[in-house]
Amino acid sequence: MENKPTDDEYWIKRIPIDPSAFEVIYDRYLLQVYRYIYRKVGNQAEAEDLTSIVFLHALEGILKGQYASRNKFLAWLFSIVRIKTADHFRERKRMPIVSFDDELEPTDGHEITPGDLRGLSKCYSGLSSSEQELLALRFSADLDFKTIALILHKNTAAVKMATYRSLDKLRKRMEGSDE
Amino acid sequence: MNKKDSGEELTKAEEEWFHSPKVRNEFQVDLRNRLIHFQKNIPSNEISREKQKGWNLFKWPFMGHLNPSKLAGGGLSLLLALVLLSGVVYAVSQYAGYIPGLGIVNQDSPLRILSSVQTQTKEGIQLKIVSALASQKNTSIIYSLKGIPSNLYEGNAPLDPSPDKQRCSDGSKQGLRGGIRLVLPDGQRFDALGSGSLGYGQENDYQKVIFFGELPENVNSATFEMDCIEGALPGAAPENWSIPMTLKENLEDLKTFPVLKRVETNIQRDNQATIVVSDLIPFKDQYIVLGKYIPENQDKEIVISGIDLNGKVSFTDVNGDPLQYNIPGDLQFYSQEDKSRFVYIIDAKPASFPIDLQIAGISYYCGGSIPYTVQLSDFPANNEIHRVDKNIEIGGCKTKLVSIVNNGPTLSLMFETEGHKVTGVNIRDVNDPKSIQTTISKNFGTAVNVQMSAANLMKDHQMQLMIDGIGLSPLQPLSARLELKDYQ
Repeated sequence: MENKPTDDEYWIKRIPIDPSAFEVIYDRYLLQVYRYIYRKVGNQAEAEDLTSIVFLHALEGILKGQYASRNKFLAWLFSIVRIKTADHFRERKRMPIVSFDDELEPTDGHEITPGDLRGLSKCYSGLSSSEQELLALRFSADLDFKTIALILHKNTAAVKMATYRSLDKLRKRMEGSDE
Repeated sequence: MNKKDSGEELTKAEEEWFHSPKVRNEFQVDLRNRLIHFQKNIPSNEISREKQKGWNLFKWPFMGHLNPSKLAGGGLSLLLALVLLSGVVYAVSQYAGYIPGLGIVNQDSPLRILSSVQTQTKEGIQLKIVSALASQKNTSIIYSLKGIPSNLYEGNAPLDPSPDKQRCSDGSKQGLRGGIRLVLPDGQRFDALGSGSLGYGQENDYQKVIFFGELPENVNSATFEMDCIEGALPGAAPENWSIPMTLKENLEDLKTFPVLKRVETNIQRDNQATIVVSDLIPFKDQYIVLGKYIPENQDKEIVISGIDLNGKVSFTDVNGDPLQYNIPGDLQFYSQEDKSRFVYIIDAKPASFPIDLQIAGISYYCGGSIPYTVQLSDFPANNEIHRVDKNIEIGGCKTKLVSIVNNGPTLSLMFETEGHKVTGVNIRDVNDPKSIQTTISKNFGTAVNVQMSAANLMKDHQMQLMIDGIGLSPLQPLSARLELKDYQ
């Protein structure tokens, strides 16, 4: 259940002496960061702005020696993601809006209908913020439970259980909406 | 990605939803460029002490292991002295020569250099024109800045989402081109075409080389102008710098490092994409490698808008051991002029050859305007696959529009390109300016699906699409073997 071991630490050490090193980190985690943020803010423009802020902050933090959490880079990065996302909502003084209309995504099969996706958006929005958070970290950001536990300062087993419960609740709501 | 427990296996719809949307290709590239720019311009005193040691490890060809600020003080004469003291003596009867810090020049044409070092000081900050070289091809100028106060970069939030719009970028307050320029006595203006970092000093000092176009032969004076100091917030530092400078004929025997050209130019590649190292420059215990990416249909004039090397580059010596490499700041212009070019400096000696170079992750974008009309009658029923199988050539790149599915609100178009990963497609509905769709392939396979609204198709029974471009990447890393005997 652990993420594969990475050579993050190697590249992070190289960043001050090799400007291309951060690109490796950027390419590695852009998608995870972006997906999580998109799930929170619900639209492309804000997701891109926030993703930019996060990576700029992470790069600056590494250059200034603020990253000291050896072998916990992903947790450190997502701490920044969460802080910046929270700041964003504080500034905008509004709750996240999940907009299905921006989510016309390619599928390789054709069995998924827009109704499925719209239903998911609606049911997800109905979950509590902590349930949404767990699901976004686990399934949009693809983080393992250990990393999520580090980010949330909670026990790994408790995080795992809570995630299962949240997913179960989402599915039950979906079933309910089908009826 | 992270493996899931059986209890949390997602349905296809759930997975699609949690994993959406794709990152726009333009955004991905733009943010990468901004991060590179940000890192280049972060003041050296803000780099942590532990990490700052790293800067000294930089092996810029120009800087070597010397203190950059000393180089700034010495001007071109010191540069020449360094070349001579390096113990490497080369014949100067080469057509092209490498002058550390200033780039590659054609020695057959007349060269002009800076008459004397010029400085301007404002509020304790000194801008110095260290050296200049005007050739028939272009003009390069090295400038240094010293005395920058450490609080210069303080002020607004340092992590503004659009730092380039607020901070001085490329010498411009608005982040536009033209922030650094040469102005001739007749008012003619030459905007900077490119630049390269030559390193940072112990304080906030730094040195850059700026490239301009070719100056008229009869003009020997110009004014170097710079609107603002890189990275500074508006009003935080002296602005509108202006230094008059004069050029003189280079009457000295300007010593250079020879540029060795590849002798064997007949490349066996069976119409496959390849990389070719065209030039080698021996430089102390290093070699500078200048090369070019050549797409498979070279004769079709593919428009390459950019090559993303992604840092996935390796050099290995004759024993298969990895060689350290870097990007030389004073030759960045070589790759800025033509996006299909690359330049590296590697720690290698003659005994290291043959050297194997491998580059993965090359990607390029082929732009154009290919119209395609979709008819509602192509889809008698929802979710029916309309098989198109139309070969498309766009910007010299070949792809195929395989099929279109109309599932009511959306159209799903599948593109496939043989022998390449499809990294993205740009497509739009001509009658809906907001319809531009960019899709980045999730798994970087040979096929990609693009979805867009079918509203106009349902309303007008037909829809005019415009395919604006496709991003491709060779399936396999490209490699080249460098043998010393192939270069002279």
